Amino acid sequence: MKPSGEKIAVSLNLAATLRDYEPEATHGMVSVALAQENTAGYLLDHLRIPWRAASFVFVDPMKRHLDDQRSNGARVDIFPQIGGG
Amino acid sequence: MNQKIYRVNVRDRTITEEPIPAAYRKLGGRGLTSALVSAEVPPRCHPLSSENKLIIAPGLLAGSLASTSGRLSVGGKSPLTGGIKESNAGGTAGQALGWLGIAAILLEDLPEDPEARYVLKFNSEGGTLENHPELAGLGNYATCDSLRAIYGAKSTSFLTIGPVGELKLAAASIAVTDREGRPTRHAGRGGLGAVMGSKGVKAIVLDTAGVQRPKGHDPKAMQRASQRLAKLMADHPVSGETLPLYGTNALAEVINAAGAYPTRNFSTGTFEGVHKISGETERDTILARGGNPRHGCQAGCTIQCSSIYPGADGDYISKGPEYETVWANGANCGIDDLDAIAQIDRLDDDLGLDTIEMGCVFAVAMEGGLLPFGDASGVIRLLDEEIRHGTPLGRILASGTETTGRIFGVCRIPCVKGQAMPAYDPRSIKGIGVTYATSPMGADHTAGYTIAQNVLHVGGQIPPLETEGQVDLSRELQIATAALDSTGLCLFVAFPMLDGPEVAEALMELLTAYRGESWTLDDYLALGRSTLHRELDFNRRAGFSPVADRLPDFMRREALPPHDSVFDIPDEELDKVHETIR
Repeated sequence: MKPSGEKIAVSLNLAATLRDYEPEATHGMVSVALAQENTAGYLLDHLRIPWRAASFVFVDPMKRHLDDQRSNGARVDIFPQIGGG
Repeated sequence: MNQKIYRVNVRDRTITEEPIPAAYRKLGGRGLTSALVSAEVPPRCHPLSSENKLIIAPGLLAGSLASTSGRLSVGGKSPLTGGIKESNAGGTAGQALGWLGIAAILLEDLPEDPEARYVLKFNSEGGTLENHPELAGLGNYATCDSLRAIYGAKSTSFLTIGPVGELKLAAASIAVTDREGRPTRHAGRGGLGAVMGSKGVKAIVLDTAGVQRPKGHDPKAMQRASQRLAKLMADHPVSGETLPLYGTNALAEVINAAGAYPTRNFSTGTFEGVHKISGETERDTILARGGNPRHGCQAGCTIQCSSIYPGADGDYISKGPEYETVWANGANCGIDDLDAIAQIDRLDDDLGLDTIEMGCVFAVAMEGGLLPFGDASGVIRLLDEEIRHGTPLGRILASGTETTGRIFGVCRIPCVKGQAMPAYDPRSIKGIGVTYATSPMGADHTAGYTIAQNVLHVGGQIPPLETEGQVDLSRELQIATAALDSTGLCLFVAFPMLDGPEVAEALMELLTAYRGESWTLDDYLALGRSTLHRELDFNRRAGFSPVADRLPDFMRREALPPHDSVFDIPDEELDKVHETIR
């Protein structure tokens, strides 16, 4: 996609062990401004999170891939490998 | 192995020791309880009658060095579902039974004196049955205090019932003490605490003083296999990292993000207050108050997914509430207060109640107008006043979700076979809906945990909102789980087991080295299939038909936000789940 230059606001939730990559976040949540063409993969690179540490990504609340793009106001949840029950 | 079975007749107060029959030697845990229930309990009997039996059996690896091998199975005909029931618990009793060489304890008949409160004790010399009427009406915490004063604390493990079990109500659990002697681990599902209450047995004391840990058939091979299994579990990101750090409640955020976190009696799939009750917040709260964020419910567990939850004053409230407990009494009731949920957890443990069932009871009662959604203090009052004192309202609530829904005129009752659903809405995760519908246990997530493949990317991926593949997935998991529940290992061993063959190999090595008979993966899966077959056959003889294998109607009609999905796997597909097993 051709870069548009427009910024969009995204609420980012880093869960469990990924919280260590954004210590300023409240309850793991942080607001970030991204270019329209930025992907969740870009977010991981920006936060220096290894891709292998991010097991799955949800966007409002559909499970997506790391190369999906965001829309304005989206919420992005990124999780490490998790289990329980 | 040289193991024995004890039959305890509570009418004539006799305890009979028998060698384990040859046909049952490769059975343990759920495999053994379900075999005994199937063979000895008339399927159409009343669950609280003399014909029902309460059967307690540790797993095949009980007493061994293997990590997490001390889970305990309790079986009988369920007062909640009317079908066969196996409910398992952690804590210290499974290992104690293994040390004592006990394969099963059967409580039989009914007591002559309905006021009797028997304490059944086993040690290296056998069993005794004593009447302790002074224990009547005590909560599980006070009961354990009294038992320690009588029987000592050093080498004893207790199974107890609270006042709800004594009242023989269908949401009653059986508590098992943890390493600190607290009654925090429960065989919660299916109301088996009411069956124990009907037998007049308030407590079972297991005393391992002077008893050596069983070495097993081949101690060196046993040690090698135990170490191999422990390393495989430590190396897996779930059993080795997120469960130890955040406990089971690490799931709250991810199931909420998946739109499958049942909120306000299954009316939507996301909870706006999830951050306040998540595993991350629970851990932060525990750490800030000086609690213990990592605690094992039994010795030798390498996962240690539990924790100790203190109040703001630093004093103990309860063990860290688990994912299901936090959800049931949190999001499902519109409650976003972790301290209140910890108090509810403490009350459920003390009264002897299943936390899943009770969370659904209160959510249904809220929908029916008994109290508003979000009223945590109202829930605490109902538990501590109405249920503790056995008032008519308290007895209705402690009879379970279906009964409560009927009394309060609610038609949205999230039950299968009378048992309330756990913390995953089957409209957003359809594989677990297949398990809820078709498990012989009623709605039970552990019976075939498709969340692993539907959401967590463990053991493969099957999209949660699609109908394709869910029936086969649930069937295979139900077979594997019936086998795992027979070993006494914690279900969380399944996470690394699903991601590669090494854990299953280590498990077969363990079983062979400990038990002294050859175990292959084929033997293991055959055990799962035969156990399920026995359970399904019992339910058929009890009068269950395929109509019982259905989710409540509102889940096929009422779309669940945010996906606006319904449960749409056809009935004829559900009927295929067990067609090769029945």
